[in-house]
Amino acid sequence: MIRVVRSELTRLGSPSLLLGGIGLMTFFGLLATVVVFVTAGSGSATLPGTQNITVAMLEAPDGMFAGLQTFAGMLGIVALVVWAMSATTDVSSGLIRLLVQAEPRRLLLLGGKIVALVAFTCAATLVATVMVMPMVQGLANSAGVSTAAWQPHLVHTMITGYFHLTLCILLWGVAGLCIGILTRSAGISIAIGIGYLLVFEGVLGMLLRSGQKWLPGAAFKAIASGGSADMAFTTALLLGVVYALAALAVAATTFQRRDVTA
Amino acid sequence: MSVICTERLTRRFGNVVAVRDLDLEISGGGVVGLVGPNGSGKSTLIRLLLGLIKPTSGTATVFGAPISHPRAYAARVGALVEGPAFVPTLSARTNLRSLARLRGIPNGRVEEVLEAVGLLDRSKEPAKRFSLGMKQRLGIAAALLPDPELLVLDEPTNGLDPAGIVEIRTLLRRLGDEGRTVVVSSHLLSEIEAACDALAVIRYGDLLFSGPMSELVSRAGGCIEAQPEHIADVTRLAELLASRGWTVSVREGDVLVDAPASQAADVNRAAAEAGMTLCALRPRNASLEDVFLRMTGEPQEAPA
Repeated sequence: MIRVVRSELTRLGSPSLLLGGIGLMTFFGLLATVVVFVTAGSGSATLPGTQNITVAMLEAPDGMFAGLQTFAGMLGIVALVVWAMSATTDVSSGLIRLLVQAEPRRLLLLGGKIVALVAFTCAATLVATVMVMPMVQGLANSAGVSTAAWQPHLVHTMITGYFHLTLCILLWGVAGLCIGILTRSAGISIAIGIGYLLVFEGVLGMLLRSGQKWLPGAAFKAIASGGSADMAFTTALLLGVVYALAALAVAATTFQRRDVTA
Repeated sequence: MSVICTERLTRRFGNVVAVRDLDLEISGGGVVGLVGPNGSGKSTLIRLLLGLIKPTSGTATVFGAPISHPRAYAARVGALVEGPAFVPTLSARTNLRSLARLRGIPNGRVEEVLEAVGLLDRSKEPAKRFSLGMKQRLGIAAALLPDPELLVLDEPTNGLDPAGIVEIRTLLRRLGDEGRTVVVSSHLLSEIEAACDALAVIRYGDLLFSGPMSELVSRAGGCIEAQPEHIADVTRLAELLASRGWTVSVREGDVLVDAPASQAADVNRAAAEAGMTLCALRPRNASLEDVFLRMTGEPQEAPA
């Protein structure tokens, strides 16, 4: 397994993935935080599946994470793209031929890829968080948001905030991996991911109404926020794990059985 | 023991039979050519042997292990299948290191294979900047990484310039002479003829011949090359000679008659009787290309 992970991490060091993954996640993290603080209370910082952020929410002990948590889906889409691209590029470049020939245990290959992508995603989320945090105090001051409640539990809030955000982003990544393996196309995977987050889950939520909270996007967002009014963190996490296991089962079965014809 | 052995190996893709009831045995050592027109099933056979795809029916072994368990022989096999494949933004060295790590091979081996294919000086450049020929060398370097006993190369000289082709051919010969088994698939007969000790000829999934190259050429014997004075008469001459019982084929304005040199006068007489004048009539020893054409019944670069 270690061999497979090291090999995968070497390929993840590709400049395009580093810039695309870590760079985009940091950019969206900064953008989300700026937007949330600048528009706090105006009601304009909403996307499908997000809520209006009030000044009171920003002044809460975990207010520093409000931007990242509110737009966790957006960061999740970046992870979805990176994970999907990691799977589809192996196919489109033909690299899968070399990988499967060198290590015929396909589930080991997939497991190694997942471990490497988890490490990559944790690092990318950490970079995004570390880049955002120093900026938050200045944004709060300029927006007239009191940060008095932040200080007593600063380290604890940062650690739990990072933990919740990373879990959410990882779940989006797993979804991306599954879609990537199924479709073998980076373009289709990205379209499905963005289409689901921005359109499909919203429409599905309107149809299901009370059942909306059980949908993947809502559950993942609840995880990012450490729980929501509709769903406790533990419930959301369990639901997220169920979704992830289902996606991994589909991905593993497909990857194990499918012919390597690329 | 056979390095590769297939028994009634078949692979279908929908209604298309890519490999059909293939019985093939390749012994250890030397360079073996896998020849056939494009789309003849060479790459499918290679994929089957490497465990990339599963057979529809039949069995096969590599180093005595069934192809359903490729892990048993993966460390002893290096392969280049349907062109080189790399992460384009990574350097040649990093690409090879990534594959070396997967196989548990030390980095020193990466330097050795880079040197073997003449890419050591360019190893820091991203693979995307490489020419097709350099990518092909990188693909061969990747195949050489495990220091394989069996090297399977699918069209290894694609995109190489003449000097590069000679270099790769020399490399293949050296690897074969070292006692490794090198299986080279190609639709370029000149390449096969120059590098291989034995060959297997495949067409549309069927094995047409398997054995030493010399046996195939000697079995084919010679032919007569007849060239009518007017190019418009080529088809008429071919039809005439065919109607007289000869096996003929047409290539580049010549009618090739499958007959010994002693029948050249008969060919000339038949043409004259039909009012056709020959401007050339010469006996020829069969080349691998002639044999191939007769066996497959089509030009060597037939579309897939």
